[in-house]
Amino acid sequence: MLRIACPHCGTRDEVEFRCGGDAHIERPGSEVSDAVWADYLFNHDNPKGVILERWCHVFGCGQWFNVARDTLTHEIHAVYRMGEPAPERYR
Amino acid sequence: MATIRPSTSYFTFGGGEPAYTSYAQRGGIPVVEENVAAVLELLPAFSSLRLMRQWAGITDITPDTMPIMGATPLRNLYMSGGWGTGGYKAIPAGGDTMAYTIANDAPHPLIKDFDLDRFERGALIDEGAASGVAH
Repeated sequence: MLRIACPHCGTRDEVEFRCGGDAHIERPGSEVSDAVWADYLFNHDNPKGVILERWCHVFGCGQWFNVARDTLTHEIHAVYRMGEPAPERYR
Repeated sequence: MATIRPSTSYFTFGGGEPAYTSYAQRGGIPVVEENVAAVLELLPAFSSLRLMRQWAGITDITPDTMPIMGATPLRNLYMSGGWGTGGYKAIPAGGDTMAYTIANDAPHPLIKDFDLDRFERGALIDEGAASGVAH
């Protein structure tokens, strides 16, 4: 069971949250090719180690925020708000 | 829930996956709870059984939860993957159609829609019910 520290509500169980996938990916413009658009939608990093993700506290405040989580150990290294840069060591 | 497999002294059952990517291979309590709840809904008498152990592995799941089969951009390299939620039921047909695809260097009609390029075409396959598990 992950215990995630929502920046607005405090630490709660993972069942209150929804993982929204990779953080810090940029949506391309509307004139790009199908290949570029598909790459944006479907081709993501799948690291064994620290991943930067967006999470939403759906059964709490409903707010999105970013998490640096280790996919092997499930350790959560950092939680930071939307719009904030990732902690330097995880970029 | 995917399976209940009776043995001499215990039942094995399982299914589901955490809602985030993981290489931990140890499962998660919320998924264990979901599985146990599904079993008890189906077979309430099982509430007197004890949970002996739990196991988790890695599943390869594609964006539309359907496998990717067919040719790749590299000549003579074919792929059959992403079977994470329904492979052991569908792979007999998957094997036959892949053999045909490789022998003829052309997709078997049954799997032509499962090609790698479907994501670029926006032609995802929405058939979650086919594998009989929650997606």
